[in-house]
Amino acid sequence: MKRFDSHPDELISASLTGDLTDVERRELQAHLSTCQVCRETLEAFSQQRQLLAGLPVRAVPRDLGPRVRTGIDSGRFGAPWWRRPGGLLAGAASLATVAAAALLAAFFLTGGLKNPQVAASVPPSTSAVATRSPSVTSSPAETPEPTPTQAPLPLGMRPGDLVYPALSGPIDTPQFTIDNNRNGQRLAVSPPSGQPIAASLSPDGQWLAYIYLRGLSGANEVAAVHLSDGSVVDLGATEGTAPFSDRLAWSPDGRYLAFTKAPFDMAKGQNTDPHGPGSTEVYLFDTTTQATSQISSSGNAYAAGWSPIADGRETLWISLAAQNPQSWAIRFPLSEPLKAVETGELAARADGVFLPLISPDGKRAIFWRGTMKQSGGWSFITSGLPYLTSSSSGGIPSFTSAEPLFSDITITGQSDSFATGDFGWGADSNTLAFWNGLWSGNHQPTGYPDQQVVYVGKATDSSLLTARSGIDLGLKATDRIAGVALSPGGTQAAITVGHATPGDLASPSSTLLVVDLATRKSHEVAAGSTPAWNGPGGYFSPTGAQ
Amino acid sequence: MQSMVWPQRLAGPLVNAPSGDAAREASFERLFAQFSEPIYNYVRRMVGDADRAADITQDTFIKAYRKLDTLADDASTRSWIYRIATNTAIDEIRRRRFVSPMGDDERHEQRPDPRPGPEDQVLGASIDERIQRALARLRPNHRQCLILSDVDDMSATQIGEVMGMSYGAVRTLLCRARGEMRRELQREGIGT
Repeated sequence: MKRFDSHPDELISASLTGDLTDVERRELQAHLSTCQVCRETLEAFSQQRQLLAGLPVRAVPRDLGPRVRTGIDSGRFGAPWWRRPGGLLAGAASLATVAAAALLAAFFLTGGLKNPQVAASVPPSTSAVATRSPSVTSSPAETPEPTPTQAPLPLGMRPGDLVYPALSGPIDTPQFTIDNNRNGQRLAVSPPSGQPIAASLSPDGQWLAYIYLRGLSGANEVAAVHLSDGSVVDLGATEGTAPFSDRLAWSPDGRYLAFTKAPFDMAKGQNTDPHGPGSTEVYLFDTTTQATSQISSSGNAYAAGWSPIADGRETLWISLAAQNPQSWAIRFPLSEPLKAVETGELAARADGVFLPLISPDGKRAIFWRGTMKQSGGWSFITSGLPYLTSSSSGGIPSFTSAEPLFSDITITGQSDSFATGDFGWGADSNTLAFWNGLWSGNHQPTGYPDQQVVYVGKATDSSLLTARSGIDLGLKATDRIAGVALSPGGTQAAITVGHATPGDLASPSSTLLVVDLATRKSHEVAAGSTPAWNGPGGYFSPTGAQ
Repeated sequence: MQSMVWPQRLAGPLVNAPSGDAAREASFERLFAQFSEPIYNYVRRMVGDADRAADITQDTFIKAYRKLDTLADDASTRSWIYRIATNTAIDEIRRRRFVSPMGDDERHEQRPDPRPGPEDQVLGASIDERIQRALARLRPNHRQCLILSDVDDMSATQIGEVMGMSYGAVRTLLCRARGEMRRELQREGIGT
């Protein structure tokens, strides 16, 4: 066997792309078994390849097609870079676009404020009915005792069951199912074009809403599957880069799904909101009619969540991103679906509060405070921190007497801030979790807080969340936490870890972990079926944890 | 959100349509539909600027339309359109150097440190942006072959077709590019 005079970096590099001969491959394998330096090089090059393959795909500018056509038709090249925005045709087109956008904006602004718009009601588009088939996979789940129910629930669901989407198989013929981890029941569903990156189970156990990647487009798609028959309702495309837009909020009775979209036209490759790129609106999906309504028209609206039903009325929280954000509680009767924000009753308005997540019992809320900035989508630029507020009486919480959710983060100035992050409640209204926190301020000792650590604590614990609350899963730099769900009893967390995809032709993969919160020990759900994307999961909780 | 993607299937053949203007238009429409996004992303990663990438992509497809008759077979379509994009991008980079020496992509050693200022550190702390910064500091030919290999998943042979180099030269270049990228990623606190 050949001995190399120096480290064979070129062969290591070529091995990543399948560019070795059989002889070279055998020589390299033999060398790697004896050379630590080359094993490290191979690992570094492999990681590098994964990182590059995982870079986001940007949508093409919406005017690219027309510009190419103009160039072809005119027999000239497009504008050289030093003369942008280019020649007469391009300039005229740009002016026309701006003028049209201005007219649209004026129309929506004036119409929206004085005369609440009647939201467009989108007829449902359904696809693929499923077959139900028993599964051979099963692992322990919490809460074994069934509660009395009037009719059998889909997937043989009982309170406490972990239900999750699972995408597996070859890329040309993927299989997509919704699985119950306790009993192994599985519902086959029409496969999406990419993996789910958010999911939420309705409190009545009848629907699973999810957001999935729309192929290589850079856009995402929102959908809901009816678990009784496997039919999928397409809720539309959304720009894939808008932070805070992945919250799927079911009303406590499971009738409505409130969600955020940066409305996106796949054909044009652009955000279609009249307020421009990065703009978001709130939508409501009514499961009884399977119709979806756009209920906001401000360009900066986000679905936050719901308060418990009271006096025969639903209460929906909507946030408006701005330098100083606001949140609004909108009430509407159970008998009369909300058509637009302006037609509801304003129950409360909270200045400086963003994305409040009310606990299922309505007595607590986690929310953001801070100064936001729009850069594509909205995120916090200074002082962005999560807070917790509590009240013994329920109803609309008071946001003025809140405590920082992290009690041991030392704030040294305005620059100490999370840019984004996610949080959630357990059904006990006491267990809470925070994850994906993108800390942009000075790091505390030991590199805390960490974007790849899930922090879990109790609202009744005076210290709330601290560095010790972290569940360190030992993730790679390229891993992403795609979702966290807390079990109804607050004893388990289901954490979905997405792994970077090495190249366009590789299947996506994730690991769905169930962590015992007392011991911090974890086990993998549906282990062994590789490559596969399992999760994000949701625990069935008739009390309505979000 | 996430950067992990599920691949879309490729469309059908591009250039086996019967001759005639309608067939030519149809072939071009399919070429644009299939490759506008990957070419735009490839060029954008090459030049690091959205507006420049849009201009280069525009010129690439105008050239492709004019040269459509020279496309021999379906199998070479991908290399062909990437080669046009590469040459267009290199021309643009050279023009830019001539007009504005401060923006010289090839004299990368003399460029100011492109690491972010305070505001970018706040909003741009994501791993994707650090990777992009590392990529931007590579020599242009290193950056190009690394993108073609690891982002666009091309073999050394295909990269050779795009860059006009031999198979062996591509393997050597790619190895050097990986070494340089490893060092730049370490500067960004990524990798070993």
